[in-house]
Amino acid sequence: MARVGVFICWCGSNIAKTVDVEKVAEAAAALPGVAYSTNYKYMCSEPGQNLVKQAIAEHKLSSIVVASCSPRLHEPTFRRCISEAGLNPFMLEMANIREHCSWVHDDNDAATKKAIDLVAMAVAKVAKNEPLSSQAIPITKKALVIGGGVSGIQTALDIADAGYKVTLVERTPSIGGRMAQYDKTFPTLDCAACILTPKMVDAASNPNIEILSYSEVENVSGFVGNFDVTIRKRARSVDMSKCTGCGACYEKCPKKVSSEFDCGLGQRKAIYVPFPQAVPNVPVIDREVCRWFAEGKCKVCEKICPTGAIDYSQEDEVITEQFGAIVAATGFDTWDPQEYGNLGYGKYPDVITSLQFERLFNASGPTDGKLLRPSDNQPPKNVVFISCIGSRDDEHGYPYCSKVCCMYNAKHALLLKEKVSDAQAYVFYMDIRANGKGYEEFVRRAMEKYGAVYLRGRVSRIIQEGDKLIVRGADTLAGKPVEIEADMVVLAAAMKPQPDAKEMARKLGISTDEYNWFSEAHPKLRPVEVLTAGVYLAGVCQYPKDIPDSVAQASGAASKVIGLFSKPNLESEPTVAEVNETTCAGCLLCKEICPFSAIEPKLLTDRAGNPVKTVASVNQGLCHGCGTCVAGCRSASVQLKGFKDDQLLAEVDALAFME
Amino acid sequence: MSMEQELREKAKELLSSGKVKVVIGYGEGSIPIKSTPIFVKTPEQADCLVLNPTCTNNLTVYLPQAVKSGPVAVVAKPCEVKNIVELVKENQIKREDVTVIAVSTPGILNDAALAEFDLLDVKKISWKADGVAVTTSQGDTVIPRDAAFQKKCLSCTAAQPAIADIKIGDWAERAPLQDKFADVEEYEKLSAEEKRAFWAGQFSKCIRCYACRQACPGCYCNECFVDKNGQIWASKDTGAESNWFFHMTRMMHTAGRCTGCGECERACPMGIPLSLMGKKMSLLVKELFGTQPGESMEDAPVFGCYQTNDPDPCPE
Ligand SMILES: Cc1cc2nc3c(=O)[nH]c(=O)nc-3n(C[C@H](O)[C@H](O)[C@H](O)COP(=O)(O)OP(=O)(O)OC[C@H]3O[C@@H](n4cnc5c(N)ncnc54)[C@H](O)[C@@H]3O)c2cc1C
Ligand code: SF4
Ligand code: SF4
Ligand code: SF4
Ligand code: SF4
Ligand code: SF4
Repeated sequence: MARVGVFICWCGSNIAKTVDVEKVAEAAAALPGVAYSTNYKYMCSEPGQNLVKQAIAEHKLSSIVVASCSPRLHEPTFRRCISEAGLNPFMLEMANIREHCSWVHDDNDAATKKAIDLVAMAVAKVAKNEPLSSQAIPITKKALVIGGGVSGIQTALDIADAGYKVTLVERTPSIGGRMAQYDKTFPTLDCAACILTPKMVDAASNPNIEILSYSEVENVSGFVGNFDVTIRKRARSVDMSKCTGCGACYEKCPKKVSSEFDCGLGQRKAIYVPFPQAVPNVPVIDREVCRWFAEGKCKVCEKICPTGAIDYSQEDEVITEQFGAIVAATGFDTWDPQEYGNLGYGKYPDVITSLQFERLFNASGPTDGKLLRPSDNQPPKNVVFISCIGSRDDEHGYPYCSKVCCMYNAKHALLLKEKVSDAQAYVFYMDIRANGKGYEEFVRRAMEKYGAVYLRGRVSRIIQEGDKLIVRGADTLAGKPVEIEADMVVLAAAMKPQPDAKEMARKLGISTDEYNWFSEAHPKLRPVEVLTAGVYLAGVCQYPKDIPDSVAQASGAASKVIGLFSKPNLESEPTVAEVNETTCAGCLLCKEICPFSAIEPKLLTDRAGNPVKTVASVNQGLCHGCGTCVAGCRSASVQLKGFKDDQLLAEVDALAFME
Repeated sequence: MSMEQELREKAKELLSSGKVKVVIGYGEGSIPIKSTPIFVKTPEQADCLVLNPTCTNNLTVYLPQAVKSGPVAVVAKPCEVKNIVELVKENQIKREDVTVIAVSTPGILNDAALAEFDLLDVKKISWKADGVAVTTSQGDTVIPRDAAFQKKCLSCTAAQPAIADIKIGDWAERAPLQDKFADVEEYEKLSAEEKRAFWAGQFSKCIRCYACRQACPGCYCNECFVDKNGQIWASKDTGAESNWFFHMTRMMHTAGRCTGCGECERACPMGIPLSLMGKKMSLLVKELFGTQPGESMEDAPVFGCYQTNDPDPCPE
């Protein structure tokens, strides 16, 4: 028979003001099974906890009810407290008489009555509680980082610095991500390559980091501490161990195609590295366009390569490895402004996106850093920048703000003036959002020192007249229409999730928001974790961010991984599902519906090893204790430890049969 | 060769080749108005197999137990093949352990059709082109199809079974004589209060013998929720509320799995129209998820899969 101790907390005046705590303690003393009952001002304080510990010893209590705040807040506190007094931490129930009672009621009598009900329920339940214990699960101390942009690189470097192994998977031929495409970065205008390239090289030379470029994650199974990940290393057609990166192959390759890295403004060869500072500096053959693969003749690269590194027969390699933690850093894509038919994107060559603009003044870009407009290779004089292309637009694009466009518009306006001294920048904006360190000052600089003209309003139409683009819009502050004769128009296209974000999220057990950005576990308090333990987020894959925020989150994710790896073992949550093998019919509906793939069939055999029947079996490491299987099982053959039917029914009965 | 003859031949082949250990089929009952389930274990016994309008039991209910002692063959009518599909999908039997002898019969006799006869005087019941012939000492009487057959048979299209190893009978798709959901439509004309009163009346008759559950191939649980002792959600008494609770829960448990074989209703000694409930549920599943139990080996269980486009209508 359980000997229950009940401890009613006043929470200062938080509870005591509305609930008659003395009366609740008195009523509790009369409940079946209760051996001791008391009240105290702050149960969670040290004297409060000591009171609990003393009572356990003095009254030989076996089970404890603390009636106080939400278990979210202090369940860990009181579990620790009673285990220090020698009880199993799961012999505790909390009755939430604060959030569920005193804070939401003002009728003292009714609130007191409700508090008594809540305590009675907890007493009924705790009497049926069983001691639970967690299991130690070993951890594979190696991390997987998916996406080799600045976020992924930073995460990998930080984890590697702490002494753990990291595999960085990047699907393009080189790491670097979007940042590698930029010339300068706001708000300090450091040269992007000067700050990014060293990090890329560090990652490549760090003995703890393995970079798998031109590779993709195919499948993820397993759970925190021990994920099994299948990675497809796509055939590069170049032997990485032989290639010295001399570049002779792509010098001579006769096949040219439009360059993805230059956003279609420049060209690359069929064998290529996306940009000169690529890491690894080993080319790949694009088999879709290579003459050898398409037409069966050419092999120029093979002839020219001094080290014999070209290998047309290479095949994709699929590897499976174990990782203890996974960081998603898959970045973003940009919205296609062709959806705005009125702006002429895709129709007029000098209407370009901001990403294309980045390539136009990048020293390693298609124009070697000279700002020349695509139509006639002349430097533009009047350039119109338009914000919020697809952002903050419920109708055509996304309702959210892409967060960085205001800033790079200012950057572009400023750099324009630096490159072409007699140029004039016009920026159409809806609001200027410059809320970062040094950001407001930066925008002011673009306006005041570099003379950028900021026009609050939308552009309604762009038409080509001769070699000019006529931009018609409204200046809503002046309250009049404006028309600008521009040489070039730059559209700040919205950031949007990668096209395969949903699929990646599914593989990793990450939930997504309505746009497919990856969802964090808690918007405020757990911004780098996701609901699947052992999976973390870094960078824009979660939501639009600039580089400082991406890098900060990347380091945050790394520290979570390091924290996980610094433990000798993982402790599993003991409140997991458990199958009653006697009654289980082995229908495996539970397996179908378990959102965490925690259930597997298990064959029961007799003593001679003959099969008797198949039943469901819960992997304690994978089970999150969500209870879905419990609801699904027709014969109630699977129960959640700590929340078993008889325990919950005892609570219901306590309430139902209360006089 | 008659269907019965063909069945016996096939059963002999299966047993003598050792492909199966037992053939579950129908044999003569103690009186000719009822055939009875038999377990045929030798080729010689195969001559005891019969196939006639009184072969009513759903034999698939035996499968989960039967396969434990080796591979079996089972005689299954079109609706019952669907139960086998569900049993395979629900991991109760392995596909390779059952040889499905799918028989497309013209229809099974509805007990009420014999109301006018002296049951002890019935000598033989057999299929005729336009119905069922009842042979008595007075000679043959032919009952026309719509009076002779069970409702489920009147609405049967004998569509191609999702699985079958041996097919006997005419499997050409036929026009149903009645709409499957005709009685649901009739029932839907009642107001909510009338429906409640209707079921309250029906459930008050229930004596909780659980014959319905025992006859149901879907109710294979080792321990039914109503039999639990430790965690008691459902009371075992026969009060109106607890009967209601039992039936509603069982209905939820068979949602998306009930094939409409009608065995629960046929087994019920109190004449409770359980099939009506099953059909109503079946219609809902069809409307909401576009699937029907047992019609394909691929369809995921309605309660076991989540699709982003799942309908989520607000119940009225
Ligand atoms: C035009 C423009 C200008 C900008 N200018 C600035 C600026 O000046 N200053 C600033 O602070 N911010 C700027 N930003 C924002 C900046 O680009 C981002 O903050 C930064 O790139 C985020 O880095 P990331 O690593 O999270 O994502 P990304 O840079 O997008 O990198 C993601 C990487 O993951 C890879 N990847 C994606 N999916 C997979 C997959 N399934 N498997 C393997 N690899 C995958 C991608 O190939 C890519 O290499 C600008 C943005 C734009 C659009
Ligand atoms: S749902 Fe229930 S009966 Fe079916 S396998 Fe799972 S635990 Fe067993
Ligand atoms: S409690 Fe949830 S996570 Fe655990 S086995 Fe059941 S369905 Fe899966
Ligand atoms: S519920 Fe009734 S009709 Fe449905 S499958 Fe079971 S026995 Fe057959
Ligand atoms: S009623 Fe439900 S619990 Fe009972 S045997 Fe049928 S499916 Fe199982
Ligand atoms: S067979 Fe009829 S009486 Fe028996 S439990 Fe089922 S509904 Fe009730």
